[in-house]
Amino acid sequence: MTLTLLPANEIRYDVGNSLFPTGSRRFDLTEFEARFGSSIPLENNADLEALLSRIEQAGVHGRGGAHFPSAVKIRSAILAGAGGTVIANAAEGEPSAAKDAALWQTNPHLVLRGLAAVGALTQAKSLGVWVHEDSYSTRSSMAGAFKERAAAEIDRLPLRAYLAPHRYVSGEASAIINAVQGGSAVPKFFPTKSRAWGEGNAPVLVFNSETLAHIGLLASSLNWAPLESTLVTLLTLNGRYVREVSSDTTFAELLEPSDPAEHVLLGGYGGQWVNWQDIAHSRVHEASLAGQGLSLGAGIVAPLPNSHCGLIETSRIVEWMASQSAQQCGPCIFGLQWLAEDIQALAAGGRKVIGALDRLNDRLPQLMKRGACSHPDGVVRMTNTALEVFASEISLHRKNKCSASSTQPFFPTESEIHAV
Amino acid sequence: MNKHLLIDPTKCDGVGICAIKAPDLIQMDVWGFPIIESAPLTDNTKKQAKKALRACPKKALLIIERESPA
Repeated sequence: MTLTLLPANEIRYDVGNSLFPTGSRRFDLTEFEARFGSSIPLENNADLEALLSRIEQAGVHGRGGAHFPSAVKIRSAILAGAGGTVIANAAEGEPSAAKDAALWQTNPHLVLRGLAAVGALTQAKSLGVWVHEDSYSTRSSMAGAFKERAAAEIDRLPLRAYLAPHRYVSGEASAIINAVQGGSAVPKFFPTKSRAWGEGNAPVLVFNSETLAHIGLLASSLNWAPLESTLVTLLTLNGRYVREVSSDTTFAELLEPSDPAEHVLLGGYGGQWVNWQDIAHSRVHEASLAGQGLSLGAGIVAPLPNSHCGLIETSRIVEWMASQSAQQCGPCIFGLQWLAEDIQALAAGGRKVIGALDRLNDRLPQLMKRGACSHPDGVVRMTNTALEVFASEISLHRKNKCSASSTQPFFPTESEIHAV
Repeated sequence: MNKHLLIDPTKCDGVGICAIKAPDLIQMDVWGFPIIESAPLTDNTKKQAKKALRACPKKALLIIERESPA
């Protein structure tokens, strides 16, 4: 099988901008401090309140998918009380995602500066980084950065890495809270859906790595006017490409003309299929997209090559997502398996298409908001948009036809990565 | 503040007795797992909710007070 995927240590990314100032190697502490300066003082309440105001004014929001305002999250954590643990989530779950890896492998000190700043703001007792156990390049870069920080005695709070099993849902916030509090790394049901702190005596606050990098910029003494930018992982036939995109960039400017596409998967495997013409002139900017009912999710933009069939690709994604269930909640265990089978029927085409379509319309709404985490919700959302966007392809498949010219898989799944 | 019936889906094994005890609050999906009404409990449904909560062998149901259903 020919693979179009680059291994994690070959992610390409733009250089010379605010988050990735260096080439294809890790910025060490000396280089980092020469570029970004030292951390701003976080000694007293006035220092802390000043930083929190900057985070608020810069409009920093969560970049893991929920896009919740970071200042609100930090303030609610302050109200919940001191003594917790702040975690940087470096465990992006999707095989197509690469921005956590790009950040940690090139500029780990920026993320760690943001982590330390949130620790100071929330009066935490410890800091942690949550990383997949088999993300070896990321872990190696992280270890180098930890050593440099320890030697320079930068961190006042204990800092440690937590190793997560390689499963999609192990990067989900409730799974991290569960594991850091001594449970297993599977999503946990929280009746009040508190966005910030977990329950119990050892509260845990989880932040996306890119979010912490933005907070790290604001906590740096050599800072410039905060650039409103987003890290986008662009998925192409030539591999993944992590780009830092300023908020006035349009999708037409983001994608190369050599990647013509009619359909784009926005936000990743739990995101939304959209028609290219509907977003071509939209800005790559969460708040603008929200006006169109769209979201960047965790920042993944995947233009489907016209040589590929959206139904076949959707079927492969749903099958992989079903395999990633933590097998805890009935609607996820049984519902996603059924969903995978009926989408497979649409992809295969022929006389089973009509029956599968009827069942999908009937059952998809039954799967929303039924799990402890939002894993099934994302799959349902992505499938719903596939049924709309690929309506004419479904008609073709009914007649045993397909518009695709390629049978090579486009979207990466875990098994293929390990097959390299 | 309103009272709501909630389920911890990680505890539920789809036994199904809750839907018998609380027919106005709980419907079974095609896989045999309960779909719970998200609206606040009323005086009538509160009784059903308590019966379902007591009957569940997995102790998967709970009643909580909160502002909104979301």
